Amino acid sequence: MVVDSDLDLMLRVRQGDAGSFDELLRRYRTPLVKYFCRMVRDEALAEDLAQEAFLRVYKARHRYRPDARFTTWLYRIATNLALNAIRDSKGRQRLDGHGSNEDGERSFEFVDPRASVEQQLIETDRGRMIRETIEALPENQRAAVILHKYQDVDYRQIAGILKVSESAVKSLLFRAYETLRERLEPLVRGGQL
Amino acid sequence: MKCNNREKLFLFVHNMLDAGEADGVRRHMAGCEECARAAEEYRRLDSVLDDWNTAEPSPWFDARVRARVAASEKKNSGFFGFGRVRALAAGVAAVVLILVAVVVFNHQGVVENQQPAASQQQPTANTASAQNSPTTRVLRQPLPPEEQLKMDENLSLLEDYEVVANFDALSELPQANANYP
Repeated sequence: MVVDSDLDLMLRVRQGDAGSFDELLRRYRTPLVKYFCRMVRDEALAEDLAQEAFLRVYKARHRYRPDARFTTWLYRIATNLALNAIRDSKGRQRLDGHGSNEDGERSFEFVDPRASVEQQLIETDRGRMIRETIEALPENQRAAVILHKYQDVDYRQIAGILKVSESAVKSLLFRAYETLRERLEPLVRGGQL
Repeated sequence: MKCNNREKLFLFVHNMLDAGEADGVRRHMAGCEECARAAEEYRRLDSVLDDWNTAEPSPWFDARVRARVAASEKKNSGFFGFGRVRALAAGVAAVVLILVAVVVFNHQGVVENQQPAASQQQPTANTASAQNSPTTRVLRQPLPPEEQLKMDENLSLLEDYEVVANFDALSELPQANANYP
């Protein structure tokens, strides 16, 4: 069986083929929701942003040009949405009192930082430490690490997504991984939490 | 390769070096325990990061995306859909712009027609008063050549005027000089 490429599917979506859009949805729903979960942590918001990303893909189908990979285009849309959401939440945090919730606990990104029950169940202490360390990275480094490590996106594509040079991506990733190596040293050296 | 070049080691571990550079790093690491250990740290960090799991999409994710797409399509396709409203608004704006341009153009034409008439009326009014006071005209505006000729013929009048006009200054002159030794 011949598997259609993303590009073929997108070209058919452009011609109004709903089935091809469904196939793209099936292929990228999980990677995209996971990407947003890691970028913004809040699961409900992550799902909402992933839906919005697909909606934008559909709305912009006539503007799609097959000169770039579909995933570069998709993740560029997703990254812009995620970074805007992070900036919005930071703005709200400032208004709401420097990121502290009602109980006075320090939240990292969002006003209500509590993970869902499901996330609390799947998140181990190691997982929480890794999440908090990655979340503490500057926005661009965080996006680059998540795209590189968890979305399996090539550094050349990351350059296209973040609109920076390939050498800038290499440098961005190196600095990010250096920070992670230093802060996660107990885990890297084989210690248990 | 320079020893302990961490960036190069990191790029080597993550396959971001070209083949030649990667060979150089590999050869160096074969004889450098410290660099080999640093590269191993990056590999271990990579596997540590695997422990960050996230939730899967909800079962109704696709249905929600389709609903949003359908809502967006409906919005665009109805008679008062966003696309049609936008096109209609653009048309109305174009018509308004044309009307404004026509009104402004006509208004400018009226103003230009009125201005010469007004400028013709103004000198006649001035002429009437100026005829009563020719000296004022000498001071305030240049005379037409034929009137200048008349003034030249009536030179005594002009001389009288200049004496009168400078009278105050002349009368003060001795007092001003008196202030100086």
